[in-house]
Amino acid sequence: MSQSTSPSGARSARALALLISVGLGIGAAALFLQFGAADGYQMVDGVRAALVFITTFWLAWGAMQSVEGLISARKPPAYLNTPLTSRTAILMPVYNEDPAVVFARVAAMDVSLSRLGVAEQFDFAILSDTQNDRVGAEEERWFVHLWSDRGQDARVALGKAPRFFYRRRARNIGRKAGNIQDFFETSGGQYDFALILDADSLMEGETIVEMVRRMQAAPELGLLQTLPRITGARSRFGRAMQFAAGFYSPVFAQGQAAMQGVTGPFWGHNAMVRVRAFAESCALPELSGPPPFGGHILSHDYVEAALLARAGWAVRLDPDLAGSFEEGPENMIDFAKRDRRWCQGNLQHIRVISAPGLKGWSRFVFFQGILSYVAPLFWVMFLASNLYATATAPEPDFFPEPFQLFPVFPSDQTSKAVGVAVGVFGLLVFPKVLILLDAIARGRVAEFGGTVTALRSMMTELIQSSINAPIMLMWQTRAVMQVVMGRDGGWPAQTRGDGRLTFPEAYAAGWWIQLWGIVVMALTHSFAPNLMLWVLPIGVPLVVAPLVIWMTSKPSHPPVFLTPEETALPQVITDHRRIVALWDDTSPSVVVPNAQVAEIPA
Amino acid sequence: MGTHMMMQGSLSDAAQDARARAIGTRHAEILRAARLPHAPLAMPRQVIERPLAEAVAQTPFLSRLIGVFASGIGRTARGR
Repeated sequence: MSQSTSPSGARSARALALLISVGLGIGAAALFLQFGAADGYQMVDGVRAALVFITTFWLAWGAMQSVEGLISARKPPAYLNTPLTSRTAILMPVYNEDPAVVFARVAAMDVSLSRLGVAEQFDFAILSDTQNDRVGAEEERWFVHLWSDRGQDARVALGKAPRFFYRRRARNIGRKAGNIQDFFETSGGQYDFALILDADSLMEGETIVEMVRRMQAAPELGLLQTLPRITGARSRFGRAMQFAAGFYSPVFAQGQAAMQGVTGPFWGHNAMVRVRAFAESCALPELSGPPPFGGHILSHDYVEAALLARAGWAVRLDPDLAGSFEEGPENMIDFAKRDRRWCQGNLQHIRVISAPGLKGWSRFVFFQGILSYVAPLFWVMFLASNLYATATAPEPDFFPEPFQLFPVFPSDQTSKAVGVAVGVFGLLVFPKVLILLDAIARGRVAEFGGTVTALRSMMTELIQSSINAPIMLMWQTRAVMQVVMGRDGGWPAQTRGDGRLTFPEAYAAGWWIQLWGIVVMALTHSFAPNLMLWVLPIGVPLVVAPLVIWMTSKPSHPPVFLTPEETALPQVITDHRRIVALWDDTSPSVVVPNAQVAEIPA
Repeated sequence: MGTHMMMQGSLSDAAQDARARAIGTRHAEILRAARLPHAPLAMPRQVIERPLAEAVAQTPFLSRLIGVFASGIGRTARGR
């Protein structure tokens, strides 16, 4: 356990981050006000300065997480060696997924635990919320395959209880949170801990065992969250995200862990909970009123973390725990779909932020989540207010006094606006540069192909994310508007696969963004032509949005965006791929009594 | 020859039916054995909704802060 979780340490980290972020926000707003009000103060200048404050504060707050991550102590992982004295359920919730691929993950994790000789301490429960009967029938067939594969017949014949369970709910009440709750209410009494996964999660046996040991060693610990690494990405978009998650996220997570102390996060998967703590504190009610603000809580994980903390349990993020993996979206459309769901979930937290007894930090986390989705609106408002201010700015008066002999030139404050823009850009780039320098100093850069490759990956990711950002901003703005207008996004199943898009698909998703880009450029050209240079970095990506969406879904290959998992495939992922290949050759329908099914060696 | 082929066909169909039944029975047995263990745990429903005004009133610091802020606006509005 590498990070400080003491309340005073967390308070100091929060105070430092808050102080610097507010300071930078005020500084940027003051500087901008001097520029904006150079031709006389108008109401719109105040609005623009306020927007600069909010957006700069928000960027600085994010940057401070990386600074905190870099300055907080990072000891090498000190894994425990205590005996396992508890029982753990490994929960794999599924919802209209490809059962062969998902169940092979279960098999791979069991292989990993078997290698360590501790498999007896762990049971696997596949908790299906699949509503499609055809997929449900496939799940049953593949579960039978998994059962035979993991030698459960022999176990049962010896009078032992099976270690693999499958349950499918006819109605997916409460979605994933309801699915997990149903398990606890049915079988929770049999287990000390539960490892909650997603259908795309994979974890090394060693990591799972270490999590159990840490839970055993800290009786006050209610939830232990790992930082999952994204793996298996193939597209330009997916691999850029995978690189960013592998290269930057550990430092950001370290900073987050330092700031939140024992009021940590729950990201819904790749986390272990103490069954008793979770059962006592985390049964979620439906919120009153209709969706999107009422009904089932979509982003249940944040609420569950807050409820555990409310009940006095520690919730901790241990970023040093390696061997925790997930998959990410492969293209911008899938990312936007997921983001739409997260947006609704986070905005729904407006209803929960005032829940009785919550810790102050938990309320702040809700506020932070809400702000992260509202922030794009502030950027849009900032852009619009600048266009308005420039278009309505009074003509300079060179002879304000009657019978004045020499003209008075207005004070040129452009350098201040440039200063703010450079500062804002710096807040975006500075953390990444610091992380690169830190990686070089610590030698971590070798895992990403060395200094030159990592620098190339960083630059490519920076350019790609700068082009993507205005397009994402439009999607986020639309998502917020939809939620505010009461449109429920539902609960679409995750799209898996290589994610490659055709141009018509990209165009269908991005034409309206392109239209907005044309409108913004035309308005700027007509009413504020001297702002054109400032608007181009936003306007051009919007105009070519369909092309960007299409191009970023194309395959990408190393060395750019190289990650440690691509250099040396983790054992559990190797096992998973081997099992999927093996199962591909074995139709599940041939599983008959006494059939010889190839047992996967541990 | 035609009758022979038909007989072979129906024998094959019967064998396939028997095999499908065997697979079905086997699947049902496994799914029965793989039901979740019965060890229920009570999960008391949590209270998470409270009107914001009530939350503010019950948080003295927040209440005072908002009071000071509101009266500040009032004084400014009256031009003092």
